[in-house]
Amino acid sequence: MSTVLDEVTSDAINTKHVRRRVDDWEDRLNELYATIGNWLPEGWEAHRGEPVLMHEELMRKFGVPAKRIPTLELHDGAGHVAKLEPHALWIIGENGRVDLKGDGPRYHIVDTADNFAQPNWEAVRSERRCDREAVTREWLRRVLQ
Amino acid sequence: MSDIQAIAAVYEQVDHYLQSLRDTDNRAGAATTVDQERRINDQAYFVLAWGQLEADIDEACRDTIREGQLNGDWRYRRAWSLYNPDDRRLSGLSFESRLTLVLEKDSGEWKRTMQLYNVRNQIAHGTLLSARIDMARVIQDFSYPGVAGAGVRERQARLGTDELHPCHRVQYRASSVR
Repeated sequence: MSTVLDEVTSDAINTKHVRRRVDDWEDRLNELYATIGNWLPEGWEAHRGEPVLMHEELMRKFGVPAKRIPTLELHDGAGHVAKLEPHALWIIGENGRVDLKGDGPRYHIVDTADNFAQPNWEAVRSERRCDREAVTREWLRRVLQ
Repeated sequence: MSDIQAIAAVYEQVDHYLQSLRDTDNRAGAATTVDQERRINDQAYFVLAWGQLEADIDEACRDTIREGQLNGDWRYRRAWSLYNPDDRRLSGLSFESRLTLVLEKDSGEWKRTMQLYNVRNQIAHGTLLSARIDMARVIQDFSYPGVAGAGVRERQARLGTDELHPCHRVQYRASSVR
């Protein structure tokens, strides 16, 4: 089951698989946050924010308990704040989405890689969802400006 | 596909509205309720968008049958003469058969399109999905053959035409829905 579409159309999915996917999602989020932290423009700092509770429908269906997963807050010295918050893991068409919300437009950061593959993060503005671009240091600097 | 962009635009408006509710309602359980509403909204619009794709596959199927019926060699033409491209129900062909007429059955595109068809059937017959749907991705893949990548341009070059053969048009549309 290499994609979410495979998962939702398969009878083979089980509790073990769902748990593994949740753990993998947390790992990918931690890696993304570490990368974002390393890419911050001068004057910005990253701090772990209040975790959010993840309990998606597939977790409920297979009896996987809710899990607190990390968020990331970005601050600069001038009082600007941006927050990365996981939105959902199981989304047909992507392999998880994190929302970036700050003073400017909201961005959806989505992993377009296959399940359990090396993540491929892309970003799209919430109100212009067809124009995706790679999540890079340059992209981050631009959206935090 | 004439209505796909209108469907996409209305979907985004509704999803934005639900997002704004999620952002502003701090009552306990409100986020979960809104997430559920967004999941239902995704699925409602997915079924609408699917109708547009299915109409396009039907049109590609009709073109393929007509093309086969024009072949000068009766040995090739005879199989195509079994079907009536002008029949509203395409001679009773199932969706799987119609898709197999325009996409190679062993291809990833065929498999993905059938998976999406199963998703559509599940929703339309009363069982909601437990996942959200990236409608932008689905609608983009259904509706933008013109922004095709190198693979499609290569096929166009091979066909010696700017006009994409209907089979390839459908193939591209299904190609990146994951």
